Amino acid sequence: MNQIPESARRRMQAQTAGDHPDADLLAAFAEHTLAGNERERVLSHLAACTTCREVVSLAMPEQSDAEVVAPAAHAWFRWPMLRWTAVAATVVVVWAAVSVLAPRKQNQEVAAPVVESVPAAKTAEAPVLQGSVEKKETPPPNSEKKFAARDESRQRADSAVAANQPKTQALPSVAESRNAQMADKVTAAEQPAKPLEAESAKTKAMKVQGAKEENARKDALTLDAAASKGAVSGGIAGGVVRENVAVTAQAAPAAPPPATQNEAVNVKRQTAPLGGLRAGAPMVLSKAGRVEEGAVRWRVSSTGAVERSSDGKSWVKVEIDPGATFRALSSNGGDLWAGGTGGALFHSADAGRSWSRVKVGDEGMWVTDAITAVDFPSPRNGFVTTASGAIWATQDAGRTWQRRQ
Amino acid sequence: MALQKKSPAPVGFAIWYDSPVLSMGGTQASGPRAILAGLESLVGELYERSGAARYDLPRADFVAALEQVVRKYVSDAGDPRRTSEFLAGLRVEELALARACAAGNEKAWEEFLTRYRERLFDSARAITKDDATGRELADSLYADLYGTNTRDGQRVSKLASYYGRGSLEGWLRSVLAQEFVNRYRSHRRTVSLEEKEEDGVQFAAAPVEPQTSADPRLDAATDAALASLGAEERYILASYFLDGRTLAEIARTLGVHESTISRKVEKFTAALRKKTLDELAARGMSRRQAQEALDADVRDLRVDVRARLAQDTAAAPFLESKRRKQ
Repeated sequence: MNQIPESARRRMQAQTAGDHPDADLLAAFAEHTLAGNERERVLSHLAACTTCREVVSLAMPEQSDAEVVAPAAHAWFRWPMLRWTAVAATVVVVWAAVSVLAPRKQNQEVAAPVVESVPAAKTAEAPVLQGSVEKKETPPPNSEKKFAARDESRQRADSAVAANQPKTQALPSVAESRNAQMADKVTAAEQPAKPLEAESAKTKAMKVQGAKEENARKDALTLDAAASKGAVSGGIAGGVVRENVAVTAQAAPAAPPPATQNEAVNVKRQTAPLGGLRAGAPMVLSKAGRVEEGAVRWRVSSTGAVERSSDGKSWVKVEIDPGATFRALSSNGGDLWAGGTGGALFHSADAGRSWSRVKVGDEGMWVTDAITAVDFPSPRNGFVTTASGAIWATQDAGRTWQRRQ
Repeated sequence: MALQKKSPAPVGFAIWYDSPVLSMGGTQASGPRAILAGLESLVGELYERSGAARYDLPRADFVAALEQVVRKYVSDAGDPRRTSEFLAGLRVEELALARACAAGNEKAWEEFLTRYRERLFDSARAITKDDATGRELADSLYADLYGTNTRDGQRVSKLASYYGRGSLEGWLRSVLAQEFVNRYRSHRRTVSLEEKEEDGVQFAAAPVEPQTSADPRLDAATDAALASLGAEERYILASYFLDGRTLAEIARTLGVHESTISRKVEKFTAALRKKTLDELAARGMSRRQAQEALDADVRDLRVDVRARLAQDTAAAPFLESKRRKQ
């Protein structure tokens, strides 16, 4: 465990607390029945008052075995662990790509005069088609026409390269489309960004061919990674987008794309309409392939209302139940649970857009005490604590409850 | 129904025995009976629910108790909706029992003793970690609860200062804990010199000088960083780093799992450090200077300097004699 700076320890000890809260407030705090502003004020006092912290600690009821809250299940699948797993996977993928592609690129440059353009085109096409097969798992409408148009355009470009003719009109269009792909996939240093007119036709052909081969190999790598690991994050922007497309393309059919030469790029940037997302809302493709609507924060206000904020400064009240005064909130991604007075427990599985009332209890005996703490480490497993000290746990997203204490 | 101090309370503890006016968030009412105006039906329902009639507690006394609680805790008592919400969250049954006990109703006392006698002793033993001391503590509280002191010819019971915010049992535990801390502190202040000598303490330690940083910017930056933290964040850090409480203890006070507290301690510690560094940078320090200022402690510097001086003076003769031998 990290240590706080000694200066912070010294200044915390030097803080002066105001008037002490009375025994009623301390008892209510210890029983988790204080809410909102009152709880904040007591906490603020406790943060500065060693004596009251000691009193609260002494006044806590003795802990029974049943009171020990079960630890969060599936700790390995929580975001802090997933974050580092994603980073590690990204490093492995990038390292593998670099280690595989770099020697081949060098070999190509060294043996450039020997490489025949036609066989090279064939070897480049094979992995690309392999990647296309991956995307065809959920074939969108007009997919055959789309791929036929793409193959036709590529054949035209390849034939131009194979003929080794300086067709400056045709080659830039191929190179531009490839450059657009490269911007998504490889670093700027690897992109053939210079105008083709400044170089000889053979050199141009080699560069285009090299870029094709790189793209093809990257297609295979990223698609293999996505297929084997599911949502694996990418360290470079291209990797992130591509993997997300690989996931979303399987989830829902894509809209009919225009059959142009840049179709491959368009396919990559298509995002299938995901369930629950607001139309026109700014979507963020996170590193783990998770779709978020910005960084939404949640809190329970001093008046017992559930509020959300996208910037941490302005908070908007979320209407759940006008009759309920909320005291606790649990947020796990888009899975939200809010508990309050009268045993009110509400659940939202779509980031707060719709809420449903969940009854806590067993065998027809429903909890009517205020719910003072809610903790759902995963969407299915969680527990709530009531004002009377009872702890109820569920393992099926609130359908059934078991009393722990 | 205000209580008076029955014993000299240590400094800083006055509010635990005080009148309602001094409480957190409490305000004086604009006029008598104005607070509950328009809430007669709710008050009647609460009176029924409290079972105050079982203890012969008149409705007027019950209403007076409710008014007292509202005045004490509801800042915007003029808002009927806010007041009714607050009243609905009160533990009126235990409030009525406490007020009936304070009024000397025998039936109420029987009920109180049946419910809380054993729990009170158990709590006192748990707090003191000693059977005899616990029983002594509980007995002294019983005397206060019954009201051995009188004021203006009337018996004054400590139970009249229960307001029904938390459970009566929780309130009793809090009062016991306060009393224990009071006694412990007053006892520490009145330890005789003989007792100190028995404990092996012959000379009182020099009073600790208030530590200040060599660079005042460090204190200012630290204060700003601490002020940027929320109340719960500061509470967790203070409990963990100053009081040395375990993650499980802190988790119990906040009603969360200890793994949650563990994550929060890590997160808040990092946030505090980063914020302090940012504040130092805003006060003209370079990043490296800020890191050094944060990692160095003025007390460490003092100790290091002394140790270094002592080592130098001790080493010098040895080196001199060594040279002579050579």
